[in-house]
Amino acid sequence: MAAKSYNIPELDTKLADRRYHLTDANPEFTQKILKTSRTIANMCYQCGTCTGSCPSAPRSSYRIRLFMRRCVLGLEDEALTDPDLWLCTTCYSCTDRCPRDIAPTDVIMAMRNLAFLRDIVPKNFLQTCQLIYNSGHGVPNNDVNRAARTKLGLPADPPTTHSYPEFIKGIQKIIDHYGLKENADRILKGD
Amino acid sequence: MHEYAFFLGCIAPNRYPGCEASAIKTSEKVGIKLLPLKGASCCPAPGAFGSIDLNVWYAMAARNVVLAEEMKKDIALICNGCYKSIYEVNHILKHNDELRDGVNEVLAEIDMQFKGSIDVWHLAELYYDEKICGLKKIRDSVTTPLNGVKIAAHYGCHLMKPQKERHFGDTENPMWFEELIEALGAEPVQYRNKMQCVVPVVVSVDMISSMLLTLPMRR
Repeated sequence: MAAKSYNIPELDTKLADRRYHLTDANPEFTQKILKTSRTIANMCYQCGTCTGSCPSAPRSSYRIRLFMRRCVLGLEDEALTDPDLWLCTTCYSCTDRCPRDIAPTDVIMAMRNLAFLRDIVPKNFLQTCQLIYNSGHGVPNNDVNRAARTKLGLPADPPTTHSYPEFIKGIQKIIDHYGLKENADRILKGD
Repeated sequence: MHEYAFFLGCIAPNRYPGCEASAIKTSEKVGIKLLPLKGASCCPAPGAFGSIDLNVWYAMAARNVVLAEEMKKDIALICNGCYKSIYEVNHILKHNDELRDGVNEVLAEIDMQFKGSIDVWHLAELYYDEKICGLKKIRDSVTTPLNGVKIAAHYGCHLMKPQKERHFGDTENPMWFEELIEALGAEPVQYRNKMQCVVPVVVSVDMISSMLLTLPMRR
């Protein structure tokens, strides 16, 4: 049995079955990851230094080595639907210590990009996108902070998009180019 | 006087304005002038945007770099998260023609072009750099030495790692920030998990794991 349960019967059965089924493998998945992550993920020889360096590993069921294996074997569904994918803190400890000079963190980022194409993404990330779309800042200014800024001798609004809102249009164009705002709105509405 | 475009980001100006004010005031005393980078936005957040679509992350960060390119000034910044976005995207786009062309295609829509003509620095490394400021200048500029104060330095992952794409050297037990603390007259303290992750990204996904992760820091 798998050590963990996500209350999704299909996924639980899959995680409990540790055999390798050729039908599950998608070689294109590996190629996509290699391209997006720009690292030689297929060179991983499963030494486990990454999991040993990982700050998430001792405190959760997240195992970066497992994701590296899934990448090499092309186990697309298993990698992208596993909620543990989102427990990487992107601290890059594994990248610094990898004896094969791979960047496992970038592999995880590439997998998250692919998961987003299936609408799998934490809501908070999408809310950040909406905030940036509207104001240019992920953490916008507020009245308490404006008072603090004035007290420190700074202008109430920083010289960013807050003081120059004409720049927000350019930001919106960039985000719209990739259709990110539409997708964020759609996914948040669906929940 | 060395002049830099001062990239603020979000947290420093909008939540901790003291960081912004002190950065500008202290820098002036050691010969670094921080000019406002007009129209800068969120860096954008490497965890959120990088996870969703790396291409948006490249383009948005490149826009901020281009603003400084138009000023013909290197960027100085004070936030580790911003350093990851701005430094790394600048570095990647300088060395990857395919990605640069893709980003320039998008930036052309808003009449911008990434040229790769500037560098990105963290203010702390500028203070440490002998050519810009250096320890001696800091030591001489001190008016009230922090004698008897013990300070534990936390470097943060996104400033130092991954090692091969940065220029800080050792990431297992770095000491350069301790030297800066010593220059102020304070006593740097060594502690376990100096390079431990502080878990900002996981907070938005899983509150319990993120709390567990910060536990060793409190020892």
